[in-house]
Amino acid sequence: MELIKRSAFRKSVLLLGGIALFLLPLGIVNPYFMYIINLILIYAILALGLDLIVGYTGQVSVGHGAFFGIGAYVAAILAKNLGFSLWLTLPFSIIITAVIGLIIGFIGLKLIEEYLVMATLAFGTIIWLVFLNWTDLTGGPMGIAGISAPPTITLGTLQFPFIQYHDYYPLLLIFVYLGILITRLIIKSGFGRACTAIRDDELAAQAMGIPVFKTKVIMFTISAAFCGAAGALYAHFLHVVSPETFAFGMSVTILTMVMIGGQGSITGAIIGAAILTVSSEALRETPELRMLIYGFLIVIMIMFFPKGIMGLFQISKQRLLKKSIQVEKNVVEKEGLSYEQ
Amino acid sequence: MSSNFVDDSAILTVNQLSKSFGGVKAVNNLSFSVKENNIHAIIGPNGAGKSTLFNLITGVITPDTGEIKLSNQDITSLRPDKIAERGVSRTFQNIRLFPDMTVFETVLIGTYLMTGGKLLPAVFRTKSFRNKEREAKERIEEILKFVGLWDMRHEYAARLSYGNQRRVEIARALATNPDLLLLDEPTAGMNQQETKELMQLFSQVNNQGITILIIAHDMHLVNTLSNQITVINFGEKLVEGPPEMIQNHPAVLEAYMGRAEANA
Amino acid sequence: MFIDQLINGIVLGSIYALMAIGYTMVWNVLRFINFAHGEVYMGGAFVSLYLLLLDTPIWLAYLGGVCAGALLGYLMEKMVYMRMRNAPKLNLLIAAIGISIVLQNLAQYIWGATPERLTSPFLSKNIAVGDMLINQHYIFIIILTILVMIVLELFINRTLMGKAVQAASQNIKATQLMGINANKIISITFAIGSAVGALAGILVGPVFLVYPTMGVFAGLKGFTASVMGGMGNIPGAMIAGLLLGVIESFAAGFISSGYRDAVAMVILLFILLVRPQGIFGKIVQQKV
Repeated sequence: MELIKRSAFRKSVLLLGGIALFLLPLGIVNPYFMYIINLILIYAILALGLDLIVGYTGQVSVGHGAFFGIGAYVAAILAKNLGFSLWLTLPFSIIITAVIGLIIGFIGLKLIEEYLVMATLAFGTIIWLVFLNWTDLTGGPMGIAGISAPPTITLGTLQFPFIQYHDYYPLLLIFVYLGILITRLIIKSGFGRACTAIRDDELAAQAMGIPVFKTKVIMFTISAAFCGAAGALYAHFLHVVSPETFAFGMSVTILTMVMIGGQGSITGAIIGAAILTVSSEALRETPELRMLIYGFLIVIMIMFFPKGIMGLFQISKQRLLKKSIQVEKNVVEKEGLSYEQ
Repeated sequence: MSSNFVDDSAILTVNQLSKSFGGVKAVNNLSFSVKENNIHAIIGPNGAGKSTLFNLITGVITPDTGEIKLSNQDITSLRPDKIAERGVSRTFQNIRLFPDMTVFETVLIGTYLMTGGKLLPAVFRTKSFRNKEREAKERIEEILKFVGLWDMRHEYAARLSYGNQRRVEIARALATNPDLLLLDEPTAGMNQQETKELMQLFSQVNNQGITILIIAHDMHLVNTLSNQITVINFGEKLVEGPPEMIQNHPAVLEAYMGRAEANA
Repeated sequence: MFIDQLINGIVLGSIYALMAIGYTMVWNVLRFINFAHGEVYMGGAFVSLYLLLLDTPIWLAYLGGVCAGALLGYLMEKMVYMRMRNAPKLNLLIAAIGISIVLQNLAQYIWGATPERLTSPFLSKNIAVGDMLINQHYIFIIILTILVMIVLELFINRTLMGKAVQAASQNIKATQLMGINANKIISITFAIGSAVGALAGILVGPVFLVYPTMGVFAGLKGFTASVMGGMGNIPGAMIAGLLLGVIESFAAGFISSGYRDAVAMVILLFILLVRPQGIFGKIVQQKV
């Protein structure tokens, strides 16, 4: 009873907070800050996507930057060449990255975990070379500029055009919420639980009737699709895409987000996205120093705090839980009942 | 191929099964069948190929030759999840739990076959999805109460006592609604009290109409619990029969009981 | 022309084979792919380059690079992997990726991104075979590769330590029970595999130059060779390395230079798709 009340309370706080976040731009004057916040939202979708496969399924990919890039380039090419708006490019980006994700997952998830890492590394390199060299389609090293802004949204008499950074924020926020919702719906289902079981013990999961390979491939596909969506949003938000954004470093950055925030946690993915976006901006002038720091962070986090920042919270939560169980036990013992049975 | 065992009441038939690892024959031309509703024990000295046999039956490894039938359906070389789907569930010699899950969550994994892993119904939270989820949770409540872990459902499974961890594993296996339950040395490392309680649990499980195939070392357990025993040594079948017969069989005494008595 | 391509292929293939040995040896004792192996290759080459700048005699500089590579591999294992023996495999993989990023960017930070040429005593000389000229450095690479293979073969099969490594490859736990210090075996394996990897980097330095990300492709290609050869199969890895080099060398002739590096990647994806257990199919062990 108490628990239900508490979770209802928590839900309403989250809901109110979620709505209140839409008002954030009112408090921000500097467009650069708004730009950063928008980037955080796009990266949050990426981190949520990668976390589905790393955090919830236990398979490492270092090719998600390429999925992000494919989503962005598909949107850019369709917008430039065929005049598609965001609402048309987005589904294309998602479907195309999903299909490619399905193929790469199928190739990489067959035998051992390492194969996926290498397959995604190889795939990421190929895609990067394609961005760089298929000049007719991708604009080569120059990339593609002049990608259209999303069309003005009309709600009754209200009009929401996309002119400055402040205008993009609510749209991006809605997509982040959508990402969170889908992630939650997936992980709180038989399918999502199957993924967690595979992460924790593949053999035991299989003995429970879980088709391991198929489940991993499907999750990898969804994970890639998340990045595709983020890519389309990125292209229409920045109006320009270029190959160096989607090099190996991007894949590493997304992985670092998940590792810092804490794998297997929605909040963690978002915190990670925020921290990494801000630090990437701060260290933009010295990219090799930035990557050096990310590398160190990955090693240190995985060695000492494998569950990231969220793991620290979890430990204290577990201690609390243990305490309450202890109290419960004492009460039961006092009443002369055996705790077991 | 004509079967050595044409037995309609057999739920599991193993026929001329062989498996070698790098020239060593772990299971050698082994045939036996498990009758429905029996508690069938497999005994034999360490390294006799018992666990290999279980891994073959559950599809973790594939046999070199021979066939495995489940109620007359060929399941040889099927994937483990396909075999689980057909009603075979198991526990592992070294308890294999999911480290980050509570008792409830662990057993919930066992209901995968019941709820199905379909993605779209989950994302749209269809009515049938919600119904299945509710049914699964009711089923878990039933199972956890049955194995006596309901009060501990929120504890991390890996932190429980050894005996209770084994119960979690059994509960998880039961959640798949098996017709045949494979238990790989379920009482190894348990104290007497725990062993006794687990034995009670096994007969209760059996009373629900679930056939049990059990690997065990504890002769007392085997004799009181099972109604059919297969003794294997060096991957081959030594003898087979009801406990009364096995107890006094000279070959068994030599190959197995001698050691067990020496250990006792 | 054909012979030219073939020799190029064999030279490349020798390098991939040397790289593949490092992956394979570590896989055998730990069932783990050391992703930072490509950075050992790069590190060895850079240390040699640096020693040459200090006017070290060339052979000593080469030797120094090989030793530095061995040390790097040893340190990785001691400082990171060893402390993670009980962690899930996922964590180990991520740590290795992290190490690889650290080393790449550290090299870039220290030495900069501009490719530099390592000196070789042979590079400027050619040998006439029939009516064609072959660069002496290429011959040097091939001879040294064969030499390394023979030495490794002797080490593994004829010495006590090599036999211990072999035993550890079969079953590390049993080895431990027999009173052999498993950690020591693993360290030695890392050191030897890394020394061979660093040697590959040094041999390549005079031809394909030395730069911080040189290990990425070399690592991927060495890995491809070890998958093709059947993960864990050392002779298989050597043959597959040569094969990969030759295939790549011929394929590159048909493809625009921008995509040259993609050839090996496509081969890797193809192998993983159609024959993930490798051409010579040593089976990847099921963990039961």
